[in-house]
Amino acid sequence: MSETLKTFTNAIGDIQTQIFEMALIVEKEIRLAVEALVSSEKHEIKEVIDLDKDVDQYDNKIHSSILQLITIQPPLPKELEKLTAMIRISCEYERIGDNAVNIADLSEYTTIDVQSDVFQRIDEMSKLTSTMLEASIDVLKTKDQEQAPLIVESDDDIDQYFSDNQQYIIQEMSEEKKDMESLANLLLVNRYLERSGDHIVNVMRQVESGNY
Amino acid sequence: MEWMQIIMGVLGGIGIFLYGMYIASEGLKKSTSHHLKRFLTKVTKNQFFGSLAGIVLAAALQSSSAATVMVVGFVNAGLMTLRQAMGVMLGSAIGTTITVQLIAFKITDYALLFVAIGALVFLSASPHIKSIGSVILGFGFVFFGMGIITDAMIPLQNNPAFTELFVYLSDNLLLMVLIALVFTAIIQNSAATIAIAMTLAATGSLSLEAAVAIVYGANIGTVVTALISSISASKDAQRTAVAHAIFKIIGVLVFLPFTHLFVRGLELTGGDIGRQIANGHTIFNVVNLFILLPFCNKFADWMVMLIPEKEKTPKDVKYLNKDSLEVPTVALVQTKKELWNMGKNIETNMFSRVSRFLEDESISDRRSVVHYEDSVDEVYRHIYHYLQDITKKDLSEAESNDSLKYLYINNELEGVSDSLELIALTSMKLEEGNIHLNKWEMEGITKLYKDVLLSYQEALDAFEDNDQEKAYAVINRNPMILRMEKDLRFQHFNQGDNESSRLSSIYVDIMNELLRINHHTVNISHTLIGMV
Repeated sequence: MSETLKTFTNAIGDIQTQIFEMALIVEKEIRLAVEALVSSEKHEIKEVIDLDKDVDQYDNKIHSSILQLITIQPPLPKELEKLTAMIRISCEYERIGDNAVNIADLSEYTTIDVQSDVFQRIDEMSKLTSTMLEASIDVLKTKDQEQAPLIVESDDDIDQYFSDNQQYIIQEMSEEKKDMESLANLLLVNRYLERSGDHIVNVMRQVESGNY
Repeated sequence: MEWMQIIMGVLGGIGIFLYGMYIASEGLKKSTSHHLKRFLTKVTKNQFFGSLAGIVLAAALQSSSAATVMVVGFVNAGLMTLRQAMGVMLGSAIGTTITVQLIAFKITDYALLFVAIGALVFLSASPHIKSIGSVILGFGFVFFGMGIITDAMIPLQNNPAFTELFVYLSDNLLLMVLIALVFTAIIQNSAATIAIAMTLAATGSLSLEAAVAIVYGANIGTVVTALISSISASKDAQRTAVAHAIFKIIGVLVFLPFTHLFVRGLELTGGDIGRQIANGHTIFNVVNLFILLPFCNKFADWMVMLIPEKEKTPKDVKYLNKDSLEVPTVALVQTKKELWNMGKNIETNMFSRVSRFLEDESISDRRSVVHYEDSVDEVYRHIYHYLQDITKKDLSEAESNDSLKYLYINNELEGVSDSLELIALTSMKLEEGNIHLNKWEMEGITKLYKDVLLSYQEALDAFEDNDQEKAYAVINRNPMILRMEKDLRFQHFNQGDNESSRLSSIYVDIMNELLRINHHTVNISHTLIGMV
């Protein structure tokens, strides 16, 4: 008789906490993956991959816990909306984790100087993504419907970074012509970060719609 | 037909007298009972206050029998301890003497005035005043009844046989006491007995000494009501009632040898002979109170010895042990075993019998299911109280969590047995109406029954091994069982060519109860995985 007795509402709360924990790991993944681009030892790559395994486990656990909860006891309609929204949110964060892994994978074949202009741009963009991600967790905790649109708006900044970076890298490519592989990889990194922003927007949409 | 007249007059008078007492006491109860309860539980801190409370209580209820029954009820409900009850009872005896003192006022001539005023107040006023009206009305009837008794007995004064009888009885006081005792026990009212003694004495047929003997008898006789009402009550209630009886008997035994002196003393109290009898009644009870009050606690202990706690745990309770309560961890283990045993017993003694009487209509199986439900209830109550006792101890968080879970499971198991009993009772209707479920209906019910039973068994196993997987399995089977019931119901209404609406309702009732059992089973599983 180990399990402490809890109510349905408590059980939903427990799953929410897992989502917050998972989202924090994802944020760490993004940070490490971008660091790996300029790191010499590249130990971050393994770390990101390991973290992502945790994230996948979290996502599976959240998914199955929610299904289990629904089978245990029929939720109220509002609760059902919320639980399905939670499945979706968990999925979105998990996808961001996958993007981080993609970036980490590329970093193995990418050499780039920390001081370089292009890395500075990528770094700023990734920091903005991290900030957005952290802010999104806060919104999930507070369910502050007025904050959600602000985060959605900041995705425009990320999109701006994306198109600027894209043009900048193409420019570099046409001028330098030497480390083409690294530059091509950076094009993809740029893309992955932009996609991550979109996933955060999707999370915020769940709050805006009132489902979560 | 002089005798006929006398008997009719006396019996009719007693009838009106008793009815008057009833009305008066109902009226008093209505206007005071709410306050009485609060008052009683507050004021019975010690014996002395307890006896004061008893005086007020009995005066308010106009009957020491009623007061004792009420006290017995309080003791039964655990609102009052045996020791407190002793004091209250002694006091209540004095409370009723007030009634007799009132009766001694001899206002029989104005009885009808009382009735008139009482009725007027009763008819005209608000509910609260109304009860005062009924008190006045009641006393009016009491006096009116007494008037009738007195009138009826006038011819007896000159009847030599009757006079001789009383002379004889006056010489054999003990016999007089016994007659009064039996008479009071029959009419269940000591005041009425004493009132008759008063009227007889007033007409000169009865000496004061004989009247005092009647007072003794009436005092003992009045406890018979409480004794009878305690037979089916708790041990403490029985002890209270028996103690009350012993109090009175001791009192009478103390007074009896000194009756002659007592009577002399009463003559000095003045007033007419009616008043002297009333005083005798009062003094008897007051003296009795002072003699016995110091021994109240001792008495309570003696009563516990005299009526010992029968082995409280019935045969069906196997593992609960009062001593283990000191070690809550052990007590919880025992509770778990007991619960599991209860569940297993429900399975073998109730659940499996259902299948038998579904297949062939065996009335004995039905009976034993219904019968067994009582013993499940008994175990349920014991586990419940045991758990309550456990929770009073200093428990760790995990332990109090466990005891909470056990409370849940106890409740659910009891629910299962209730439903099984209902199925047995419902299927008895089949027999009574000589109607039969047809083959496919029987198959449907049996199928549902088997699945519900399987879930039940799995839930019990999950409980025994604390196996969460199994608990989840039971929960996951639930939608399937719900669906099956829906299908069966559809089948029944859709293709059933039932002429009998009764059969249809029985069929549906049995399925509903099976669903309910499954619901309990799922709840048990919820508890096991920690959901409320």
